[in-house]
Amino acid sequence: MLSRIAPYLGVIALGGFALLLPQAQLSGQVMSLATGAVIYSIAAAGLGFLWGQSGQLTLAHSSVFGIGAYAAAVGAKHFGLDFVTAFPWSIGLSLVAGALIALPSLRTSGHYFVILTFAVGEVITVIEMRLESITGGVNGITALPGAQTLFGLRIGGRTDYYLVVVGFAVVVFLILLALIRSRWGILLRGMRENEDLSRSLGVNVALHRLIAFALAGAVAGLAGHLYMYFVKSIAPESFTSHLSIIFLLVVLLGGKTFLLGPIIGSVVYVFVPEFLGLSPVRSQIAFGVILVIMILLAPGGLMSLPGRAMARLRARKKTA
Amino acid sequence: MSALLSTQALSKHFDGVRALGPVDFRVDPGEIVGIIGPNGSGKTTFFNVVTGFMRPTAGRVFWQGADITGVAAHRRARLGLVRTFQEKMVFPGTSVRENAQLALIQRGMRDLSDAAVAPALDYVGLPLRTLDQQAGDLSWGQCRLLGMALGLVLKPRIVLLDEPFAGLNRIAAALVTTMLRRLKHDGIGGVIVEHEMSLLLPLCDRVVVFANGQILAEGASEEILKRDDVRAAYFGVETLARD
Ligand SMILES: Nc1ncnc2c1ncn2[C@@H]1O[C@H](COP(=O)(O)OP(=O)(O)O)[C@@H](O)[C@H]1O
Ligand SMILES: [Mg+2]
Repeated sequence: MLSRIAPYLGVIALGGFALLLPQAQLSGQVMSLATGAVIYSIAAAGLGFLWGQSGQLTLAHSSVFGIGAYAAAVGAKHFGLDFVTAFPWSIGLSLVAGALIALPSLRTSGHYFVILTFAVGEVITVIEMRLESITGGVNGITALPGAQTLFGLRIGGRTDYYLVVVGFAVVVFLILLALIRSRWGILLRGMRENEDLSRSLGVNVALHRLIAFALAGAVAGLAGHLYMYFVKSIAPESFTSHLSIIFLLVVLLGGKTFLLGPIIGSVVYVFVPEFLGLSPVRSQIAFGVILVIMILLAPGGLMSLPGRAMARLRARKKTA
Repeated sequence: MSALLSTQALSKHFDGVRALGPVDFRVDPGEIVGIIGPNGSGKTTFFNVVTGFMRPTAGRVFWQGADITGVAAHRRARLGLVRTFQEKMVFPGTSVRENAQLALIQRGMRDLSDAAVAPALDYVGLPLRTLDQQAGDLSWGQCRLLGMALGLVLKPRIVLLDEPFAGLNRIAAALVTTMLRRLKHDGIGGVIVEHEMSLLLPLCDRVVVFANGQILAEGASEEILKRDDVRAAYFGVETLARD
């Protein structure tokens, strides 16, 4: 029984710890970085679920993240939606977008499919630029939260918004955890491990893949929405495939089969360059180097290290 | 009585080259049919087309008399037409337990506990202590057994087994033989592709000989080996293919 709920308690405890962070009287800048890291970790968790569980990769994840952000911004600017009432749109549209991206996978797979998702992402960026009257074109769009609150927390307040974002993260991670441990999770991992065998056992691979993409899209859209209310101003260039690559690397760094991998990945990605005082260019290089080392030495990601260390210790004990 | 599974002038071409057909084939409920034939004679392609993993170039597939030629592979599996694979037999990156659980889910079972998983492994003679192992870490023979267990969990009407003895040592082969006899006993039909005729013939009601994508001969197990054309085609090519 305990082993069943322990992982959920772990997520809640981690969330509780994150909620206590502001008590440490951190600088406003650190709080902003932390907020960004949590938002990135949510978006990356959507990709991590898709990649780690179902084995599918997409380079349009940032575009779907952008659709969530645009839905929130356009909703606020043109349709009078606020932080809460825009959610059905940001999540709904990105869910549909996620599913649409999966459609070509019914006809093609592997590398070709990944390249196709890249192309789809580029198209979405172009559309965002062209729909000037709604999106503001290349100049982007600005929407300020004003005096909005959620559960008494100010959306526009730095520390308050951090707490809001952590709250959403806890909910998302709990849902993903439940899905990973569900019957559906078993089917997805089966598709990842052996698609033909899954089909031969009666699994409707195309359908489940579509749903997994839709879910990853919805999570990205939610994160994009949170991102919009964090930075308050967005433009198409914020959501190019470069960001998709960053999500991908964040997932890889943390470990793609681990629920919490994206959290570690994002924290490392956001904070390490900051602590080392690296310029953006140098931090890119540093991140690249870290990744190469990771892929060569610990392809399972940072989260796989404790398990590997334990296994090594056990092996040493046996020989001793 | 209508056949459980049958094909009509079924054929498959790859880039214009005929790998299979035209093949007319039938299996009756509970019948076990062996398919022998040299490497490259189209046995696996036949399985792929019959189970919906490949679209035939021409011809039809029937299930209990109904045309299922255009039916998706996963739907055929749900009808009770289940296959195993020659090489990629299991879900390598997950535990044996989760492999079996996936099949139980597909069977519509609510209970996924070890008590529910155990009979599936028992049926094929796979030891329960393998539950926590990664399926990819099992021996080749154990992979075979697990692969068959997964298909059999679905309680198929018929299983198509692609070279179930290939790469197995004597002990594993004996386990597979036991399992196949149990199939017969439980009234599950089977089509078994196999090179090793000494293992295959005692298990089958009927044997079909493939050569160059077509049926060269068919008959009762004990009759078929006596035919000169079969010996020529099978052993002739077989000796070449073996070295
Ligand atoms: N996917 C494929 N693409 C092209 N040719 C194939 C494919 N699958 C099988 N073939 C060809 O079809 C023929 C029959 O192969 P196969 O059905 O695997 O034979 P068997 O299982 O009897 O050894 C062979 O010549 C093989 O090269
Ligand atoms: Mg073959």
